[in-house]
Amino acid sequence: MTDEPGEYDDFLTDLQSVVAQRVEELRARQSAQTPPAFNDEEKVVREWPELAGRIMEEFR
Amino acid sequence: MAIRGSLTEASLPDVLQLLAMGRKTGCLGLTFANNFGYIYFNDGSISHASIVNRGLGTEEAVYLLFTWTQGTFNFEPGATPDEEVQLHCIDPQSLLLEGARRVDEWALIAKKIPTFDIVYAMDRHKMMEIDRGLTAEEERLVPLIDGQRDVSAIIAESRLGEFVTAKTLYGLLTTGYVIRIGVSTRSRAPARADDKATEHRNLGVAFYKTGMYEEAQREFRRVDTLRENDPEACFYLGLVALRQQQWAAAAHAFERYVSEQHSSRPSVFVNLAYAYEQMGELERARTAMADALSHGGRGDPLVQTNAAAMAVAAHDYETADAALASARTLWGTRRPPPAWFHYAGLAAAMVNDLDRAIALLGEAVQVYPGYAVLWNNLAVAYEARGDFDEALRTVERGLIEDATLPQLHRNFADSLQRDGRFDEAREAYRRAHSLDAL
Repeated sequence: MTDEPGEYDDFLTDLQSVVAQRVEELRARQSAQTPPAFNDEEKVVREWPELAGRIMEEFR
Repeated sequence: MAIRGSLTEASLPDVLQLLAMGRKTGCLGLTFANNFGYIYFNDGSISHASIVNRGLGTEEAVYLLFTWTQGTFNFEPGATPDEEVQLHCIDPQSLLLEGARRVDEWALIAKKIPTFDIVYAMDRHKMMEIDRGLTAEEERLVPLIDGQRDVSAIIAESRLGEFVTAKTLYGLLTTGYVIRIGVSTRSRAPARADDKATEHRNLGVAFYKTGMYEEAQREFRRVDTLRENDPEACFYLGLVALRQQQWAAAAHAFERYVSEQHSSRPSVFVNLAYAYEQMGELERARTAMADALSHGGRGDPLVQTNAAAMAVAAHDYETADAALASARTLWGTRRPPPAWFHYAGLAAAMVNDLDRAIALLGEAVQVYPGYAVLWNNLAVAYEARGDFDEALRTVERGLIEDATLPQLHRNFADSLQRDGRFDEAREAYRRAHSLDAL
């Protein structure tokens, strides 16, 4: 710990991002079966791009 | 992308020829004063046309639309007519000549018959005086020209269509067989609020279907004012807000529907769930989707597909798979929509069932080859299975459909990189990056 409160806040922020990264890794391990390419949003389109495919326009 | 314009700058015949030459599929909507007409195209041919609140057949509607020389048009690519309408395959060129002739004739007719609320009667003395005989159309009209019916009623009852009726009446007026009595009392009486609401509702639905959302919103707001708690107005106001990406307004409209209406519809809950999802309110989205399923949605393949899409977003592939399988069963022999194939392929790939993902997406690109997203994810599935040549071929095919999809450029770059074509790969990575930043 340091005497400077600003530095301590920065330290906590860094720690949070490390923890978040670890949690993400855990999630990735949970779905280890998924081929890596399908977890890469730069390669795969996950959400259907047309609104018509995600809503119901017929009144029923 | 929608094409919009003014009919004073581009006439309807010009627009029709343009759409025919471009072999376009979609809906051309036209507005003139408080009227709205639409013409559906399939691969450059006219498949269906109508004018709202007029009840005209396809050809009659197109001919009448030719007389609209002011107003606006809007072309919505990809829009298709409702399933229940009768479809045609008419070459627009074949209507141009007759259309031009009718426009000239309408100009003459309108001088003698300026409005359709005029009431005419037969002049029997004149008929005996000048006995020239009657045409078949005139024979049909004479019993209806009784000093009671106005022109609109004669058109409706003669079943000859607006143009033939008006032209026949014009001929009878010219020979003096028919005299003007006055105007119908119906036109002087204020229209009932309910009738007006129905007219605005019909206009609103037509505007919505042709992608004219601001106009649709205006019409449904009128319905909302004229008919308190109108369920359809509420539903469509929600849809318009979704189309305009105003998620909170959409949620509000569908919430209002749920609180005001006694009969709940699964479509309302599905749309409410989507609005919540876009707002980041995932718990409420899940609740709304559960409501959609419990209010009759379990037997609706579209509800099941939407439930699957939500499960995929939540990484719950088991639930997604079950909902997608249920949807496919419910469709039976009918072909599922492209979104179903997308989520089915994705859900299979996410649980590493690449053979099934490839089979599903392979089927998808056969039936929906115009969707680059399907080609892209199929290419990734091939790559994940180690079929690199097939991945490259698939990604190249996808780029033909849509060269603006960044994922396709990224996958193309990866394929080139594997082939040792480093300069080309670098260029493709750059394109992927710049498209992604847009």
